[in-house]
Amino acid sequence: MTKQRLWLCALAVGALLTQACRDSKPPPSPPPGNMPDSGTPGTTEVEFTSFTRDLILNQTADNNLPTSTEDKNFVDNMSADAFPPAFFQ
Amino acid sequence: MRVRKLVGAMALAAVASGGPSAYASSHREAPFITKLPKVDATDFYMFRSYEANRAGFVTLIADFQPFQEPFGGPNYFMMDPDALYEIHIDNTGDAQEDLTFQFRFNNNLKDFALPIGPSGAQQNVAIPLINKGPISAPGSMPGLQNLNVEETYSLKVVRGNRRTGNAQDVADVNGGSTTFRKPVDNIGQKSIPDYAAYANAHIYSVSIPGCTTDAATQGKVFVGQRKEPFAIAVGPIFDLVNADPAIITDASKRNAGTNDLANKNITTLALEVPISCLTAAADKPIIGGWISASVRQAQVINPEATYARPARVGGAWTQVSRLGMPLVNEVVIGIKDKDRFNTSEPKNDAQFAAYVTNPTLPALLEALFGPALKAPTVFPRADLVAVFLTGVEGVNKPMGGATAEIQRLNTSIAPKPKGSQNNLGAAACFVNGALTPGNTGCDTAGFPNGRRPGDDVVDIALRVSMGYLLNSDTAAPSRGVPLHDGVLQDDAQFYDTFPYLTTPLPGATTP
Repeated sequence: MTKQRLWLCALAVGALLTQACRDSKPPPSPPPGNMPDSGTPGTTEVEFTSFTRDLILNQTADNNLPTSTEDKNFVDNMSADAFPPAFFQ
Repeated sequence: MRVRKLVGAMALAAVASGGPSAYASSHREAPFITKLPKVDATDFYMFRSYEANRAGFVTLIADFQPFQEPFGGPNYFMMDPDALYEIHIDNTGDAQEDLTFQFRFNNNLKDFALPIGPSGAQQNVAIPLINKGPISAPGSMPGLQNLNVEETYSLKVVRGNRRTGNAQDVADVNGGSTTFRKPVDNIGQKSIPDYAAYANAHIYSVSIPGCTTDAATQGKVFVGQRKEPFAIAVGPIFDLVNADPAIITDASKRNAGTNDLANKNITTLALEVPISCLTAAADKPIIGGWISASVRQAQVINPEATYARPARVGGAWTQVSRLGMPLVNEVVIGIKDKDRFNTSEPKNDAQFAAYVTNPTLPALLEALFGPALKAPTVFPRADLVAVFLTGVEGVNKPMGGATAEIQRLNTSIAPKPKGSQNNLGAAACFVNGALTPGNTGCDTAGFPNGRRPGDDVVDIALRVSMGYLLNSDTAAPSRGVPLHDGVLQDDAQFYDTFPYLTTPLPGATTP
């Protein structure tokens, strides 16, 4: 294999890796309303009530894996009626 | 305190994520599980069935809800309808489940009411009790119509990963139903005059998908209350082994103490499965087994609770209880890691290895009893690794098997019938640490080759921890001491038919 050919191969592999990395890490989209994605790691602060509500409303499935809590700094700043009676119906 | 704050404080969303128990074998053994008694796994038994004509089967028994007082009404000890109870089987030696049996429960409130008040102005008012009259076996009415809350369950078998594998319903061979009745707990003799017959009517012959092809391969299932099978002097043991060393080192006094669990009941999930269903191939007869319980990751308490919804739960199933070998999380794992152990999976057990290779229990016993009990001096404790983490070579160690804390059963070893089992299990098969099958009393069909109800695992574990399996007095000065807890457990205490564990104690007796 010639030096030029090796160089082209290296460039091609580099381009593929760059694309793969882009594909595996889409830009984060802001959560709807005050409902953060409970699975997002590295978040410094996660509102606890929203996190809990999201687990219940959106993450309930028999084949899901639990969401880590060790990487989250929970804060509790929701209003007193965050879980209205309708939530329990 | 504001209602919402109270709700938030009680929300249960802080369970560690999963990627992921001794002395009462695993009863209330870890701090967090004491808050969740309905999902507290207490004992796991796995053995070749020794009922006549059932030698081709393995019986799996998972016990939950410790320290049940028989009189604990009016709700007694129903299972948690918001929980998932599982029995896992590894048949490839990698400490990962290949089959999982999943139990889910449901409570149906009939809401019996009585017309209360003067004629013409009566109100129907709900009764506060679980039954309004005597209860008898299904099909022998009257009886069942008096039961106010009927508990049922479903059973699935999952092949592959417990969460993503292929799940199929186990069905009653009589009628095909996939819903099974669980007998109400033993309220007392006035409510249920013949509890044994009533409970036996809840033993189902089942068709297990992928296993049952004819009558000879039908399994059995029973879920219900039983008399606590585990026997131990749990009070004295946790009180710095508050026992006379002259007694607990005297082999003739193995039953000189008091079984603190003698007056308790337990809830049992018992399953009998054809051996061929559990093993991967005829030439791979060794299986691993363990049990777990999971709850939804989040729970929000309903400040206006109803029967149907005292709380709302959701999120992924999150494991909160785990049990393979007896006594491990209770007297082997350090307090700081007990909760983690309960949420962990066997495949990740390297994180707990030091608790086995460098155990604290022998050192504690030496500190408590001085010269009477000297801890082994050889480290790492390869003998304990063999018993608890890999299986014993020549008995129940699979080829190329993983190092993990699960029970291991060599299904090619024939069962021993009731009356001929050695309550010290396979311990008598070892002389100076060497497997000696011809030794008097050798019973390789017993613990640690699986576990039968009659195996006295406390005595076995105590002796093994003090070096029974080591080969020199230098390495283990007390290896020959017949250490025990003063409470004997043996096969005479159990039935010789499925589900082996005996009829639970009644909440009240008829005078």
